[in-house]
Amino acid sequence: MRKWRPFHLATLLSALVSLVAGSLAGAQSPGLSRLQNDDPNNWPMYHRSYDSFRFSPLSQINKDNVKNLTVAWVHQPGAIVQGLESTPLVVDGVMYYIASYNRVFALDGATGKELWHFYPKLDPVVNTLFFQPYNRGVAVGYGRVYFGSLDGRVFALDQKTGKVVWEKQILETKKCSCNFTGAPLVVKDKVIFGQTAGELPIQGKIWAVMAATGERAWEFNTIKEDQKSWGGDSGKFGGGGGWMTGSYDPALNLIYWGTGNPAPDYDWGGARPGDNLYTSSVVALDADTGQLKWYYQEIPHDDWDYDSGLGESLVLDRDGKKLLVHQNKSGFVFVLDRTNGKVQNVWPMIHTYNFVKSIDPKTGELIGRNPPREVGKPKFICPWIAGGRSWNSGSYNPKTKLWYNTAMEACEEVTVEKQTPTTEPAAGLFFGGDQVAKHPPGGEAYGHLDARDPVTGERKWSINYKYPPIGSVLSTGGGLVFHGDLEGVVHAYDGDTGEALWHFRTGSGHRGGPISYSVNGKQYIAVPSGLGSLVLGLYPALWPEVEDFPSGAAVFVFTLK
Amino acid sequence: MRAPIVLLVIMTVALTVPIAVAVRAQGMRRPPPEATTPPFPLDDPAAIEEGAKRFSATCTGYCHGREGRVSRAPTLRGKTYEPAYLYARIANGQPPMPAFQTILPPEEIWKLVAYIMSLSTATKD
Repeated sequence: MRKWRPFHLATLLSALVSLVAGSLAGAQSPGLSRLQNDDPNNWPMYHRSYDSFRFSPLSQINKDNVKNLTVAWVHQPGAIVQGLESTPLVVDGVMYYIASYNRVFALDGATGKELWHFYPKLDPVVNTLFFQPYNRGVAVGYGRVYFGSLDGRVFALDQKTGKVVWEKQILETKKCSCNFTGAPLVVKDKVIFGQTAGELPIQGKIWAVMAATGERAWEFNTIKEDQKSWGGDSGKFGGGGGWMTGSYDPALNLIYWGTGNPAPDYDWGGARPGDNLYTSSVVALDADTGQLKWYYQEIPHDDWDYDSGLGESLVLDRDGKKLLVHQNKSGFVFVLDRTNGKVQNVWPMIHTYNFVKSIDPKTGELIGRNPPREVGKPKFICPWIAGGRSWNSGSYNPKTKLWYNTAMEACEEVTVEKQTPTTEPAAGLFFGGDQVAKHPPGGEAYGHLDARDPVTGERKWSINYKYPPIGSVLSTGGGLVFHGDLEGVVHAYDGDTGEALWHFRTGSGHRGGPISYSVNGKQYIAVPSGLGSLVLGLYPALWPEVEDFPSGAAVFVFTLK
Repeated sequence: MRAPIVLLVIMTVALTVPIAVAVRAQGMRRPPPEATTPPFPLDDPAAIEEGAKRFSATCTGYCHGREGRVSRAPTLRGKTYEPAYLYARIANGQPPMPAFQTILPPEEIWKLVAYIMSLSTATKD
């Protein structure tokens, strides 16, 4: 029998490695070019571009002709539990989107004709989880469609056929009760996934896997190993995680990711002594290694579940400064120097808050903290646990230099209860209290869509809604702003003035992300419709009729007549 | 010797069918065996109190509302349920409600049942 000599073996291995690397590199250039957003016809990632602008430069549909928008096609995923929370992607005329139960579809962007679908066989553990069965998006790159699953796996599907290229079990979902619900982000040769964890007695992480193989590349633990930051053994149950999609600055090679809240959500005093790093923070990670370059904790020792998991971070430059604009669930916006995390400004996007008296715009210090601490005694807190805004995203138009973003003016009564973390046989919810929604003092709760300067917070116009909106926003090169409300109406506004120019009733409320793309020279607006969301459970205490608002799931695609 | 066996079969069917029918009539799967035997009286104040704490710690604000008040999930106050139905509903879940049978032992589920049963005479406000 012939023996392989080390030399031959090394040569063969070397050739194989070169072949694999070569094929990846071959796919890499066009893939990265697409991701870096030089094709206005595409919407190639969750926030469309690494800077999280959610801005489409397309201008065929504009203020003059938007009144002529009509339905081109509709697609229904056939699963409506928790509505349709995702943002579709479009690359080279093909739409990719994910719905509840991780149903993934590829559709002809011009006609809606299905090219393929993929329904994964999910582990029954999914039925025991709190965070299910929704998903917010897929990622596309290197000829593959990536997503994180409800049962803790990460998948790569063939972009042309929908067949599984690889799948890897990353999370011990049966043990941690945690999973993936946010869209991944392709960065260079890796795919980044953030997990759920904030309401669970576990340690949440941000994961990077190799785009080619799914092998683990690095992981970042959002719970710092530090007794000063986590007294006793509280860090073992600290929660955190990074459940929404972050941003990336290719020049600095830094990934910016918002982290989840500490567990338990409420602290009766002594539940988790310390500032609880790196929860309710923005972390800047080296894209290649996952090494922490800097962090900024927006809510030290978060007492209210005002996490920073809202992934959207605007990567923009102003007056020679490299800035990062990140909104926190508390309703405050933190403007940071994205090279080092130093505070440049802090401004509120809501009017109704009492959790602090203020936040120092120069230092970011929370002044006059008002935590619910007394066990068993309800405490009135603003904003409510749904936040001054939820995880949905705003949109920044670099032409108008305005950030179009939603906000919520609502309060709650929190009752803190001592709780022992449950980790066997599986992690149980670890809230440390309960809450019920309340109207603000002297008025009704409501929500609004604002056009503001993202750095100063200066407001140009606002639209008020009876029910605080939870859908994302789209702005376009045609000077338009699209936004779907809770009652199931998608609106088009003049981006300069807020004037209502067009609307369409989709039949169910909006929680997902509208996008724009072009196929064969024709511009389309795609709007996911379908009400569902955990936070929706809070609404009926304020507006009983919301209990009966119909769920649904459909992608409506509009174009000019 | 046959009569006792027949009697036993008849009694078993007589006891099982009403529960199964009641459970199926409300759209649920058959409850697990332990669901037919609560380990304590369902009006036991201590069980109700512990059930209230468990209820509060298990996402009520987002789901059924604090103390079973109005939410997107069914309002629980002022409603009458069969204990076996409630047990099966909590154990098996129904999307998007999680199934709690792998997270909570039967005794804890029964405490939740005791608490929810206690809300049957509560007002909605």
